[in-house]
Amino acid sequence: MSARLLTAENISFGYATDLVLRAVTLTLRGGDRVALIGPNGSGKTTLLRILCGILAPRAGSVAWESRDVRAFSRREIAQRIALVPQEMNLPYAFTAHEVVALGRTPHARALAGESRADRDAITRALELTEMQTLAPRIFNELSGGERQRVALALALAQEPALLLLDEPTVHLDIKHQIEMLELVRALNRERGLTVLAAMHDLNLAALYFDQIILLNAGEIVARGAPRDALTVETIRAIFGAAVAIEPHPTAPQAPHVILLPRA
Amino acid sequence: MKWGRGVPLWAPTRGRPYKTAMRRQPILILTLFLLILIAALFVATLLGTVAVSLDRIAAIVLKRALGISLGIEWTDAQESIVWQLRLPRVLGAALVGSALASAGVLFQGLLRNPMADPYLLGTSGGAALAATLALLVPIYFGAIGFSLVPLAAFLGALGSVLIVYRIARIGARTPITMLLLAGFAASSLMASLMSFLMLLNQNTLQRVVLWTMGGISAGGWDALAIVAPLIFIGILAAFMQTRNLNAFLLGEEQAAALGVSVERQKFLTLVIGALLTGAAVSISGLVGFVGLVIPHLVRLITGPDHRLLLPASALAGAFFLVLADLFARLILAPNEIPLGVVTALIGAPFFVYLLRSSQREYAF
Repeated sequence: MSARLLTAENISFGYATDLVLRAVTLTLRGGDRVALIGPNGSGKTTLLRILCGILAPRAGSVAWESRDVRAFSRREIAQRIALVPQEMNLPYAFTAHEVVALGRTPHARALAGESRADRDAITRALELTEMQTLAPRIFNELSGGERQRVALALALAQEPALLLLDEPTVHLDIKHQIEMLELVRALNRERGLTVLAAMHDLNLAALYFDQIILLNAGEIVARGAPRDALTVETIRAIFGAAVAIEPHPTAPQAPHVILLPRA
Repeated sequence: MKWGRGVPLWAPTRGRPYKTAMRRQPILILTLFLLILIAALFVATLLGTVAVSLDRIAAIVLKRALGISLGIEWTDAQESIVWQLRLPRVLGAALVGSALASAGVLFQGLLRNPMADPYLLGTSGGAALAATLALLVPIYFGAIGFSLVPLAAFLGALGSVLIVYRIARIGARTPITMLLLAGFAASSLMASLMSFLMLLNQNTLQRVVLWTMGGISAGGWDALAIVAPLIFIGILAAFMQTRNLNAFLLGEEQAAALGVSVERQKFLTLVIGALLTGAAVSISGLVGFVGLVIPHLVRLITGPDHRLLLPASALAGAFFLVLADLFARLILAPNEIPLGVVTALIGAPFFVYLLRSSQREYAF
């Protein structure tokens, strides 16, 4: 088993008085590829924000390789963990290329120009996400799917060890959904990039991730291989929806969730 | 760092950089801007109500600045016009322009708002109120009077931003919306206080009004010696924030995810912006439009990357204000029109034209 990368222990968090997360404990090991699943408002986005340190938990602690994240500077965390947000927008007309270059922020010195390492990392990020034609275009004029790709490229330019994605397929059509997730899976398989992605689509989560964490009302209710985590009972319990589960025709490890109408 | 299958995660690569990386040419743009500014400085020193020939100006400047004698004769009057009046004024205009344009860049970036200018967060109101108070002081305390105005304006600008920041702070955070609203409230309050003071002291009314319309003061070298280092340090400090400001444009959360300490960065940017604005208004009064228009204009040429936008705006702001001040001196010579009137007269129509012809640069 590979080393522990990120460990969250007894994380609790609330924006106002109600708790959004209740005593969440989870460990990500190097090379993990995990989908985070739960209904709207179950705390997925909040958990991602806490894991990458941009929100501080009300109770509990987060450790990077067994060292408390509070001992790291913001910059040091950003050199290790990248977050792809659900949506990104900019008030001025940056090119897609310039947006990707922002991924080098945590690696750069204040007065230094772009180093060789910066340029190489940006080039690799652009190539991995196949942005050749996108790069010179104005970011604000791109489609939702294209912006999502730029957001991923930005995160890759950061050269993180852990990639957090907040519903990466939410604005994409099915072709782009598959492309996005196949790229993420390839980065995980070929490079060992650790991935945690909040997902809405149960079937995509089952197809492209090794493990699934089920989050409900701020608590982790199950974690395991897709086939173990996604069952008729758990889905009814968490989402209040009736489903049938069939084996996937070409990927036997992935359960295929079929929604059953109420009437 | 290695994980899993023993492949180094982000091993060094060598790829050909994308061409788009070179979209803008920073060195070319900055050199061009600098040359244009130097030309403007020359022209502005050359022109005036009293004609002094170019060779005499050169001779006077070289003699006074470097002690080099060219063997050209000039009169004492010419020397005092060029060295005591014109040159400090031209350089003062350049400094004020670069400071306001830089502060404009900082505020437009920090607030993610193209409407932002150096005066948005109460600096102008604070400076004007403090300057009004300082103009009233001589009535009661006599002699020390006049030199109090620049200091008061500087402190007023800086102080009002700190107050606005304090009002907008909620717990450990200072939301941008709160900053904007607090800035608006503080500006209104200080403007009404100022009107009230002016009503009570109608004999200083005209001086206050003139001050708020802007104009490079006749403080000469003494004033520049204090303000110039402040502005140079301010611009250098601003330049050191440019990378983080770029990240800020993605929103606070994403900036944090990119390693920026958001709240610290906000405070630092505000203080640097207020410092630059305060230093500028202390010798110029309230010159409007430079801090709003110049960053927009320059952005059309340089793109929105602050690392280029900031120094280019500093140079362009200096250029613009040197020319505007020249107009202010010459158009109705020997009378002067307030500098703020000129900047708005040139700036506003040009600005509207630019915005309408380049909507693409903004997310309209």
